[in-house]
Amino acid sequence: MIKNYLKIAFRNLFKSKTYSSINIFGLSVGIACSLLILLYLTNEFSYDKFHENSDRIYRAWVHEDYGDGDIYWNTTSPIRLKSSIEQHIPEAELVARRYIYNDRVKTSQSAESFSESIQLVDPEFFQMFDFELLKGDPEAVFSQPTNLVLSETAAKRYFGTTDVLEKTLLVKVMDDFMPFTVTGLIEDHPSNSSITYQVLIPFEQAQKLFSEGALNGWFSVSPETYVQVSQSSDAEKTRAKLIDMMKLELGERWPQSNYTVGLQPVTDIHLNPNVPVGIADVSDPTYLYILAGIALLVLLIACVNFMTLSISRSTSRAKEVGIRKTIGAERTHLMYQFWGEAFLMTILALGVGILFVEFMLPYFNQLSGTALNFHLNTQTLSLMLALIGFISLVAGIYPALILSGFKPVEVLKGRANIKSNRSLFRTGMVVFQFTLSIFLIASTLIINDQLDFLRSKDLGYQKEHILVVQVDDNPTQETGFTGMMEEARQRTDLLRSQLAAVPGVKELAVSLHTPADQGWMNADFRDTNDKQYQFNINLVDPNYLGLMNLKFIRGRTFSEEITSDLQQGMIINQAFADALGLEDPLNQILPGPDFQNHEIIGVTDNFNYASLRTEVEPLAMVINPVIIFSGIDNIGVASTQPKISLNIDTENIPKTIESIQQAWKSISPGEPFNYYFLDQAVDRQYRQEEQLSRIVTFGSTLAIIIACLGLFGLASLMVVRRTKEIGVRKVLGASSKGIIILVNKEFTRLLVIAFALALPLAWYAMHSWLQNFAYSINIGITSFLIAGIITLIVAWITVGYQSFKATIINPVDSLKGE
Amino acid sequence: MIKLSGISKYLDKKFQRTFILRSIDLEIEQGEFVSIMGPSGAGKSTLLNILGFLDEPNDGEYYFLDEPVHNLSERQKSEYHKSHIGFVFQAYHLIDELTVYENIEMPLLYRKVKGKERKSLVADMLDKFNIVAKKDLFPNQLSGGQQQVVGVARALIGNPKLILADEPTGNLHSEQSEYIMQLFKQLNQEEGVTIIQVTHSDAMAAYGNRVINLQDGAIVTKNPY
Ligand SMILES: Nc1ncnc2c1ncn2[C@@H]1O[C@H](COP(=O)(O)OP(=O)(O)OP(=O)(O)O)[C@@H](O)[C@H]1O
Ligand SMILES: [Mg+2]
Repeated sequence: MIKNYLKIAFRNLFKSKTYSSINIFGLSVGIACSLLILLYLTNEFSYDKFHENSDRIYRAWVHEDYGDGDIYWNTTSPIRLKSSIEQHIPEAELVARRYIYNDRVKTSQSAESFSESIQLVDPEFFQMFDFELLKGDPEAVFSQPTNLVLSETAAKRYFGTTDVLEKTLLVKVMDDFMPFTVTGLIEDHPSNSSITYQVLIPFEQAQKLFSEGALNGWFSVSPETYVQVSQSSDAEKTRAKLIDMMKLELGERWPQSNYTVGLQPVTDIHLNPNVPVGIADVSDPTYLYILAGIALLVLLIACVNFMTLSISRSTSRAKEVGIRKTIGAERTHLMYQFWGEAFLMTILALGVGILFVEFMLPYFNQLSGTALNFHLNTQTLSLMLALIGFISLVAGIYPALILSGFKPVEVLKGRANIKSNRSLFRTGMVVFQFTLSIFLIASTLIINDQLDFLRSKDLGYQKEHILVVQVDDNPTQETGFTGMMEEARQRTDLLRSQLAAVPGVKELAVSLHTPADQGWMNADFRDTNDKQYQFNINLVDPNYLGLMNLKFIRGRTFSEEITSDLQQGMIINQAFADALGLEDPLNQILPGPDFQNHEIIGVTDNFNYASLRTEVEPLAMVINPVIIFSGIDNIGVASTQPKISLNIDTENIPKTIESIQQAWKSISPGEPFNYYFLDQAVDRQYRQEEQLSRIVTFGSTLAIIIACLGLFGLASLMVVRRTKEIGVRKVLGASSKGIIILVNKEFTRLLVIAFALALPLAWYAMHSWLQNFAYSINIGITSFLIAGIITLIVAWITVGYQSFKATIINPVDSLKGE
Repeated sequence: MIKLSGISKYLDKKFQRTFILRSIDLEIEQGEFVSIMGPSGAGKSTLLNILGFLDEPNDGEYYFLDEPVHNLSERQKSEYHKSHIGFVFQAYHLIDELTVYENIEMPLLYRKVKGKERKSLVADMLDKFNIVAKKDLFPNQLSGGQQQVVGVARALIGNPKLILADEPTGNLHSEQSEYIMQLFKQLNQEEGVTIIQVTHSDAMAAYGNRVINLQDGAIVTKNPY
């Protein structure tokens, strides 16, 4: 019986080659597209699940609540948390901290050093996580405080080999390069790990990096603390124990801060946007849902092609249904048969689709910034099975459920009553497809508009032709930020004199932060009425504001000539002035009780130093950080390395960079020359949006292609059905043009309906997306109109081609048949 | 074998009832060869479809082998189609995508007949109707008469007790028609198959041993022609 079904299926396939190939092609593109996106999604959802004990590993968070919404929630935690947990929480089997700082490393042979992100971890790190130690003893890699573990990539970078045990690497810890002995080689972290690493050294080195207060206090958070609990532990009890622990640790101080420690599953880190970001990489799940949605839409459009095709062929299939029923077929037999055919078609399409995936994967990886692989394993196989199941179910639904129910008397007589509901169904499908296509195209256009807006909005400062050189320097215990900034300024002066003769360099200035930095230094304080103020801080030199071309609403920028500027001067932005409620902040001071002598000398307009997703927040810029540090209650610091900004000429940029590099080498020998362009860094903030735009463009292009393929098939069927009518009309003297218009009119009506349906859908989706941005475009009607017109034109061309073909047939030929 | 009493079929349209069949009483014994005749639109096909469970009457009772048909489930009806009833249509109704061989074989597939037995049954049929040479051709490669022969072969392969034929010779010229009628007669006489055919031609009706005249949905005694 199956053989008989297969024969019928294949013969039907070959009988209508055009439709079959349109169908299989469309479906395989749809399958390829959704396979790719599914691969991407499974990768995202597989983050951190590869650790054998991933269900028992947690990241600790700390939560302080001082009342009145004065809340601090962090997933980095106090350094001393580990020992407290080990002491008070018996079910904690392993506790491992990790902390990353950026500084330099070099080999003993080379004079040159390299910027590296250096990671301090506890020895438990190697037991808790399933990162394979390729060389070295996992129990003893960190038996000495000067032991070091390298990732494969890092080993190759510094030694050109993975044969690195017992070699020495010099790592800058605070002021000095310290020799470390490589005792372990660790595999590169998998791509689906939110914990990343290059160079690992023992956490004991924290003694050198942190002050006494940070090492032993509860109110300074730096490392992430990971906890592996025992199998038998009870989450509820552990939670209570952690609260008791803090009550015990803080004693009578506890009620003031309501200090709580909690645990977040490690597998939750990557995709949970509600928990604050720590050190581990996170991504925004909204984009995953959008992607999944697009995959589904493209797939649905492909399935619809399949359905429309089977409907158009249902006349001949209906006869078969009738015949089979008269010789004893039951309805279930026919359902099996039709679903089986859909299944067969899907398998063929899957085969072609897999070829497409192989072909498109590198391109897709580029689009989405991933490194996905496609090979057959249980995961991809089950994905494909699910796809096959889904598609054959959906695509076969019409013949299996409706065709199989036809009564033999009716279909064998060829009565027309199946026809009307069939064309309604088909019409519905066309409208559905084009609604989705217009929806996707309009969304693409709007997303791109917003991206253009993000890139081209006047941010209130100069971002073009600004080269930023990173200074690999961290504040030390002796120097603090003041000393570090001072040193950076001296270096900049040196650099300036070196570059005086270079025509391309116009100006140089130092600052702790430049726009688009991830997280500026931020702080808060309370005034005498206990009102809290939060603001961001930038440490600058007198030239920086001028170089950035900031606009002043009041007052002036720093002047090197005025000594009090260097010591006491402060410039705030309008947002801070508003937050302070000061009409004219000039010569005023911040309302906190503890601030050292300072004076607000200028107010800039609200330039967008952070991304356009957020409103401009209050900002204070000072040369002398002490005047701020003296009066604040809390400080958050994300990056501590200063940067030198250079305003350069547009001409001969490579040569200018080369001159800068030489000057840099001569004033800071052995230090790496790391630089970037400010405008590129600003654009990089919208990488995720760019990715989204590229993927949506990809999806909507596919959608319209598949939909038009379907339309092509449908139009040709319609034209075949109407060839006679066209013939008659031609005999009666209608022009070819008139006939093409006639056929197009029918589809145009459907497109107008689709447009009306897509409009509110796309508007709603895009409106929600734009809520992510504090600054966004207004959705105009233009994008929708363009989307509608594109679809209309493509559809007209498709249908027009088919009807044109029909009109050039000699009417005698088409009428002869009757 | 067949007993109809008071079978009516009508259509209700806008408060007006149009009768297609009016209270038909009819008995047909096993082994009869019955011809139903009547003008176009008299309800012949409708009656035949009801006899073959393809259509349902609005009124009246139908007993097939003493079994009340209105109580049969879809599945039981399918069972009868597989084992008791064979259809022959005016338009042949072969499946275009299957060869002669495969068309004839198809009923056996639904009856789950084993491969070997199937082969020999189909071979017998091909042999019996002299179409061995045509077994790999598709329906559109055959003449109308040849297609109808295949249609009859397909109807017979399930070894039915009853053959229902709606104008089996309607599309055929006289020579082909005679051939088909000879076949029917032979089946009826030699194998005892009950045959009910619809026909417009007295010559075709003459092959049978009883004529039922239909007019405006009712059985009339006189030949209406
Ligand atoms: N489903 C239906 N809807 C509307 N009218 C129907 C339907 N089925 C049958 N009829 C009507 O019932 C009448 C009888 O139809 P039927 O096909 O049985 O006639 P017939 O005797 O077989 O005619 P012919 O010799 O032309 O085949 C006709 O008038 C037909 O129009
Ligand atoms: Mg008829």
